[in-house]
Amino acid sequence: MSRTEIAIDRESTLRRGLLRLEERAPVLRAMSPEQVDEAIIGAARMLADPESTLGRQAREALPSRAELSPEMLDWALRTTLETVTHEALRACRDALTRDLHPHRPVPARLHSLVLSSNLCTASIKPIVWSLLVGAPVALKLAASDEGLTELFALALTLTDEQIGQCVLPTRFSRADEPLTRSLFAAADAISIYGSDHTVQALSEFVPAGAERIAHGHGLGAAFVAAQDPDLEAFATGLALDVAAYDQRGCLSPQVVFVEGSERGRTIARLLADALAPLATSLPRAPLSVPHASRQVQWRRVGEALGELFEGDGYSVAFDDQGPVRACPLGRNIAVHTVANQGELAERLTPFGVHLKCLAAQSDVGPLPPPLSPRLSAPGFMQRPTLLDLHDGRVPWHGLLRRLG
Amino acid sequence: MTSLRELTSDVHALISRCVAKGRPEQDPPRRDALLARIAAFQAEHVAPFGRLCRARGAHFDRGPDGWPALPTDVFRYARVAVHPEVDDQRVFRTSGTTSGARGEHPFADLGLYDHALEAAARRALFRPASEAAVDRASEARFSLVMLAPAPDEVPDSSLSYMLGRFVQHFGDDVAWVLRDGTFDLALLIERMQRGEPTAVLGTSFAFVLLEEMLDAEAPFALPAASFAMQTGGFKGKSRELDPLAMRALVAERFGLLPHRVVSEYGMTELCSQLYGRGLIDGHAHEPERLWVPGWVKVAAMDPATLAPLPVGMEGILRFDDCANVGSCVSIQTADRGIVQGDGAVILLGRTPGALPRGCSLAIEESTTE
Repeated sequence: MSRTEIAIDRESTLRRGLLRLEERAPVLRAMSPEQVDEAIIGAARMLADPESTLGRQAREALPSRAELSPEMLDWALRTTLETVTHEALRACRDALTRDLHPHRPVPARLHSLVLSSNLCTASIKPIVWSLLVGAPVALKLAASDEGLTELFALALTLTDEQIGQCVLPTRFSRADEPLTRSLFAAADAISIYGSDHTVQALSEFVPAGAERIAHGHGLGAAFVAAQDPDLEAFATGLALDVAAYDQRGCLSPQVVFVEGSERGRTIARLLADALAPLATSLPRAPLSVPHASRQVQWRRVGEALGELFEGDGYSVAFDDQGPVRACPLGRNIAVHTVANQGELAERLTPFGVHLKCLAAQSDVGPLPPPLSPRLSAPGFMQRPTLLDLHDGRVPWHGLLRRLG
Repeated sequence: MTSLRELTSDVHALISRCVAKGRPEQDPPRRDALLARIAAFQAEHVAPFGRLCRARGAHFDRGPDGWPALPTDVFRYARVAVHPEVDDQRVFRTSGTTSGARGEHPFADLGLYDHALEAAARRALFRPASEAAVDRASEARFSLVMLAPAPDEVPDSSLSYMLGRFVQHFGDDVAWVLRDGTFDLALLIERMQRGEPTAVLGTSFAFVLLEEMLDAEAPFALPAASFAMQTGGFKGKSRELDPLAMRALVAERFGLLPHRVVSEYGMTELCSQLYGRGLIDGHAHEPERLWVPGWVKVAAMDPATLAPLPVGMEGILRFDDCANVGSCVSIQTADRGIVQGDGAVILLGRTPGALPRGCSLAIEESTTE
């Protein structure tokens, strides 16, 4: 028996969606800031609330897809969405006004955004900024994307249908060149999140004249200065940074540099002590066999080279002046010592532009180019505010054109 | 107090015993007792291994399961040797094609390395034409064709060193047909047409490249006593071939029966090698089963815990190699495999890397670009 197949022209469907989205731009720009802010805050609250239908749905469906424990997923939702407040949005608008004065900024006609798969909450900040500046946003979700972006878009629609119509989540394979071209052709601001390889490959599809906003590979590091008084507080904060998203973020710390050998060992021990309770309060998701294999070997190497402090679901390797080596993530971090801040700069320099966040309690001083990490207090590396720099640039970078 | 000289002498004796006619090839109690003595000695004299043993709580009286194996990665970050650097006679280095520093295996004396490689190769590769001639094995000599760089080209390659020793022990003559990354096809073809028992030895990647270059050429027809040995995977290479297809390709190209195409498994961090059993057993196994020398113990370990697994279960391979007396006797690899009831090993490739997803980045990748 033959079956009739319904042919769906995905390219035409996407183009029509993008056209409708572009038509929303004047509507979005005509809205009052208060209306936009209310919609954003309403949607964020809806998802942050575990009692709401969408909040419950997110907590039920996302953990397995995001490869995070339910507790970790709840933490990720709360810490991301709680940054979206009236005060925060007002501060964003004020900063924007200050930055652009006396120019007359023109928002992007359409912002296309390709997301990566490592962090389930990564889309929230760029969506918020798109709406704040008045640029409708089309998002291509990663194949393994967990669905939070779609839930946030739905929450926006439920809060304010007009605003919801300014966000278009789409799903298609990265290998589908015609769809990628269509997504990019309609936009004049194009954000690409992912590995350096992905950014490079997709950049070829960015049309001439469009602003490319690249967000490639990244990692985080931490520094403890000789004068830092409270090592325990530092370790407690940093442990949260290590545990956040099971260390999968591009801001997640992978290495700690400490001034002074004895303090280095102390930090390693304190960090392990601080990671221990998080194994219960924010449990790590189970590891795949390849990941577990890489982890156990990394830990054995840590024992062979220095000292290892490990527990259920975490480890800290102290290797005094040893080489910085690949960290298997999944809450494993290395601690090394440096003689002074000059040596810190030397040890960080090889990371180059990939170093996206540096946690420290006190002033780190100038770092040599191209290092330009976001400086963070311990405990906040993977919790950037809406106003925090993004890849060393203001978060609205590329979304506005200045005229006159 | 055990000395390095004493241990080295005992390893020489064990190797000789394992390949001597009329003696069992495997003597696990004797091997394990020697492994324990070496491990205890190295825990005192090789700093990284000593630290690992102290951290894990080694019990040298419980056999190889009683102490931890050193991951191969340690060779990239720390010196693993009983002797001081000033006594280095030779340092073998890993290819280091994926990322970061190259692993180093220093030697103060290559006597034991040579003994182990010759004994194993004589047993598994350069066998006489008939069993009756086993006693006169030393007379089995071949025309050697090498599809790998010569030792003078890459003095820090353990593979090239091994091939160079093969020339001394088993070669009537040798043709290094891969020079400066280029094949000398005229030389190769001339050797193929001599009609002499020939051993073609090289890396898997070189065999594949050669096939691409000879694509239009008719297959060679080497004499029946000939064989081919291919080694190494395709780490960092753009082309890849599964082991069975590889064997078929080489057999067809050189006119060999499938069992006369065998694999070698070796690594910079190990002094001994494993070989496909094809030439020993006289037939081809699918998948290929590797012969393990009597002075080596191979075990499959749980990839997540490194606990030993029962025979027949897939795990990541740990090698306890008596010939590693000057560095570390127990080596943990990331290679997947199965150890069978008779001690033969089936290789299943490397454990796939658990690389970070999306925009997250492992440190090493960030610093090597």
